[in-house]
Amino acid sequence: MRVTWRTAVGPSLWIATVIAVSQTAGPYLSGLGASVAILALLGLGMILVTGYAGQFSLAVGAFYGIGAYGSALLTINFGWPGLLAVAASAAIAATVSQVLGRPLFRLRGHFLAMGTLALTEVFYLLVTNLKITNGASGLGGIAPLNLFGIDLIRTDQFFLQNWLIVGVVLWGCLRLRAGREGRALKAIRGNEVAAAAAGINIASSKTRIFTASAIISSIGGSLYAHQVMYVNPEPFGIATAIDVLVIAVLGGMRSPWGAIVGAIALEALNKGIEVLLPGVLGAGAVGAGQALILGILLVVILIVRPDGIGGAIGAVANYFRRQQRVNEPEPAASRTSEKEQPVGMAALRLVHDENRTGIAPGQGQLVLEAIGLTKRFGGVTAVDDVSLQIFSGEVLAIIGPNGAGKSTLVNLLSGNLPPTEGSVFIGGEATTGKPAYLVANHGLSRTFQTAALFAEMDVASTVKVGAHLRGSVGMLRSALPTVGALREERRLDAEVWAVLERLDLGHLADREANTLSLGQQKQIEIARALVGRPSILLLDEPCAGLNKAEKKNLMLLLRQLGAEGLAVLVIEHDMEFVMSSADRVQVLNFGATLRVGTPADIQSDPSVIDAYLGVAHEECVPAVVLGPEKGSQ
Amino acid sequence: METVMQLFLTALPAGAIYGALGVAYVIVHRMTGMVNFAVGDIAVVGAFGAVVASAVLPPIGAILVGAISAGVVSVLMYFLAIHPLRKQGLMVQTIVTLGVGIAVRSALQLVFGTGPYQFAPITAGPAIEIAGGVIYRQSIWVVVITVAAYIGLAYFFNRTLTGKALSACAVNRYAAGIVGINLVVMATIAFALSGAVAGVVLAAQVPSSFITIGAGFALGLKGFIAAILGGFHNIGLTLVGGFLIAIVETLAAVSVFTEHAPTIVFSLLIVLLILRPQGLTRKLVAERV
Amino acid sequence: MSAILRVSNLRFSYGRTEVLHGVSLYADEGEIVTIIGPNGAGKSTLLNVVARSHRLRSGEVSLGATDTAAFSQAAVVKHGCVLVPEGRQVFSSLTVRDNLVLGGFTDRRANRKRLMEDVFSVFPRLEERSAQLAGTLSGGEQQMLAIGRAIMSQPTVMLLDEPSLGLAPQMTARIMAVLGELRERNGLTIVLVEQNAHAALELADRGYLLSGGAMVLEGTAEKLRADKTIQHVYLGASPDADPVPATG
Repeated sequence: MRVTWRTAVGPSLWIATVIAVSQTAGPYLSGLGASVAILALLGLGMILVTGYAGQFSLAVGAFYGIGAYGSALLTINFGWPGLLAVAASAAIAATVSQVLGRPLFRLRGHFLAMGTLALTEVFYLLVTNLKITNGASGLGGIAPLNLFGIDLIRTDQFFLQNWLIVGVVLWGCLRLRAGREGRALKAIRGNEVAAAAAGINIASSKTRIFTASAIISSIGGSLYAHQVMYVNPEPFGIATAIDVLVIAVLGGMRSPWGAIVGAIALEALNKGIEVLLPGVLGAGAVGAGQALILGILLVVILIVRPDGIGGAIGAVANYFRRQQRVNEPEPAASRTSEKEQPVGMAALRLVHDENRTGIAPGQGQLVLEAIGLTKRFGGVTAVDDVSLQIFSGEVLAIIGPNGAGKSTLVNLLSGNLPPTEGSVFIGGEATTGKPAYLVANHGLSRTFQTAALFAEMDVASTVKVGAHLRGSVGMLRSALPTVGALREERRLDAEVWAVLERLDLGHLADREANTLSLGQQKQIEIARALVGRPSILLLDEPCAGLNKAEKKNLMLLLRQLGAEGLAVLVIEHDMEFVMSSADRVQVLNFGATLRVGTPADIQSDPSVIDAYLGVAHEECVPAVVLGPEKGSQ
Repeated sequence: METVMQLFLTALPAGAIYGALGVAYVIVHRMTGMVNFAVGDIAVVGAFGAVVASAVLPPIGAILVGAISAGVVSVLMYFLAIHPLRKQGLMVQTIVTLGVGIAVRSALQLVFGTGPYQFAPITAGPAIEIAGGVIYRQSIWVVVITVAAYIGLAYFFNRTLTGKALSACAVNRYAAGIVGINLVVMATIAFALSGAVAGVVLAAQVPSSFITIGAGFALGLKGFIAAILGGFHNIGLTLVGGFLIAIVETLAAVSVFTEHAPTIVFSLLIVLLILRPQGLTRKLVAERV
Repeated sequence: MSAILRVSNLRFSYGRTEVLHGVSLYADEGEIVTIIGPNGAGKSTLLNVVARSHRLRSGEVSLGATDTAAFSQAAVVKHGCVLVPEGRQVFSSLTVRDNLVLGGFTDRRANRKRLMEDVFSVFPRLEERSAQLAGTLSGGEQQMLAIGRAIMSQPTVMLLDEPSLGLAPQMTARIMAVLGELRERNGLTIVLVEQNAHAALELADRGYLLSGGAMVLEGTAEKLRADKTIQHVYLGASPDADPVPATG
């Protein structure tokens, strides 16, 4: 983000509007508006967890209640000043969310939903039955908040205060979305495996956003307590949690604006029902009727428009934006497909290597070493006692027939699978059994056999996720950007652009990555891996979907990367590509190493030819009957 | 000794209901991987179906109608709300079941109001005394029906071709398609069974106490705990889990924490998810793969 | 003689990427036809479209005289065409016996006991392990189970996707021998997708070479065995020599 006068336009407009409305609306409307603001605040908290991180939580009732009861008890019983009570309650909410979040986020999503639903219910039951909270009768006489010596007691003050706070939180959410942490969360929602491979600590990221949401909900609760000056259990049960869920679904989860749109829409809807329903079903039906419509609304919106009203508005805006773009000249297509070099891959390599100035292949330092790696799945041994070494400045290709265990081997090296036996060292440090995000910290980047990109993310951001470990800005600094955070974003932007240009992907930067061709997706993955500046790069079938010219460019890229001192491990079926890009080739068969050697050695090795093309029958056992006695496979 | 026996006899029918609801979760989860938040409310549909039918049918017939109505609502929910969202993630499917639950509960409330309902027991007569404890005759029926449902389900899943096909879908959807198993048909059967099991047991319980619209929520949560204890996979252990919850609940109610009994039970849900998500089983189904 | 399986001008795309560019092939009754080719050529996709694990969007697939355009996955199996998928795909947490029983899912009136005895006579090992969970079997045994499961549906056409995958040459040879035996005994038509070209061409009557989503070579097994294109396609031994489509 560049800090220009434009940056200030949005916030100024927001502040001006809020002040104007608070001064013009009457006490009834501003009171209503103030309570809608609290709902919007809760909606923002839910969008952070459910929309940003893709985790379904219903804890909002409990955290909202912790804020309200915290403020009430601390001011009434201990005479704390209001603001201190607000802060203390938020701290309690944060602590509870930390304790609960870590273990629950290990489980699959809906277990979190049920756990948090139970949390809200437990909180509700506690405040209903405890003496200190005065049970169902509740606590009255809560002091109003006092700001600069002024007691905030009028509804126009509530309106002003609440919507300004909503504005701050909304701004923070929008900033967060554009920053490092927000990108990490979006990546987690889009593809957890790929996010971990980029070095993102998934459990930690989820827990932190859960905590942020808890703090926001708690502040909402405190505002409620200090403005209504009375709390009872009723507003903090499951019903509220579901209201907030409806707000988020109605408004749309993808953008924090959804919370504002949803809160206003829900309130309007409820008021409409209160007016219309008594005439249809009688006055007693209002509560159940509202709930019925809420429930049906939830179902219908998810089916018709899963991205809510906000999503619909966004889609319309995008449509016009695209209409505009049609009129612009189409950027020049990929250079590579235009001019095809008439030279063969092997020849191209020779030319490249003659001009090469870096480390000579095989002369570098040992970057990665695997010793005796074995992986069994049930009765099947996928990888059987494989050892390998990769040195800086070389390209090592792993080849072998289908089912030879190549992809499993890569998953063992990158920490996506724990080995049954054996160990892995990167730069001399043991990484055996460490999770993928920690292995990434040791300087290992990888791509996946089927391109693992993030849903609904453009190419530039997708690649930027790969630079996660090259940044250090945390959640708070992402939301309230400091000069350092902005500088870091700019540095990462520059690095992303450099890599995109190098791979000739610059013209795709703002396209949604998942909609591109298979070949382009594979190249984006390589870009994402490279921007992390790894010391070792693992590529799993990078040629799939690439045309001949693109393969040649990729081959040259691998040679260059090698020359720059990177250690590259590549799994590939395209033999022409393998033979011209690799310095050494390791052949796997039946999960074990069959042969290691130079490309020329491998190509002329009869055992390798047999492994690929199979052995004619006469040369093995003349098996006609499958007797049980011939046991081993 | 007397109180221990009474504790056992009180917990037994309650545990049967929690267990049956847990089984309803497990059947759907095994087939689709999703948690159906509407299970409690669908069970209540079964109870009210029985209440309505009891006006014209004998209790046993009314309970059967209850099972069928819960099964039908469950299948309707699958076709109207879940099948259209099959391409969305599990989170969206889970949220939608929550919406269905609310819609079902409030629709029932519009028709029946919030008051309690009841109908006649299958066998009339005073409560029976067993070794110093007392149990309603209808409660014995609840337990008998639950056990019968368990035997029926166990037979279905382990012995019949359709039951095995259902398990096969849970193990490997791709391969299930390869051998010609239709996934939509199997999901329909799973939802029907899930609804019917929850409905029949709750309907059977109505004569021994009563039923209100709001009962579904708490029952749903307790059933969920039973399902966790069953590892979200094992039907027998889920029933055992239901019984354990009922024991904890009954103990809490007779101890000094009387008014905190539900709090203690629901806290158990959180504690279990944190400390032992695999429940009574050894394998963790809940863990992300 | 009309073919029992005929695929004409089949196209298939994953998203925007077309992976089969109008592929045609046929198999006569009792014939063993192999489709060989390097990885990523589209062999698995082809079989999965025929078995309707993937939707048929463009092209025709007929079984005997019946066009299968409107067929569901189950209907294809009922019509006698069954897939033995890549990587076996057995029901790992069910027993061997239950795996076999489920193979006969589409025909409830079939004599399952007799069919199972038939499978056990082909694969005696499966009988010994019938109570064991399928996931605990070795790779070769799982392949036997996958084939046995397919036999249970009483097919006339069996599609096999890389049965040699990850199997030692000995086990591969045995599986190939069983396929020959099944053809002799049941008159089964077999379409065999293989990367292991030698083993496949050894067994097959006819073959196709699929490369880059198109058939580049077709002919009798003998003819294909003698052809140099295959080695080039597989090992890239001769740089930039695009395989020349042989006429046949």
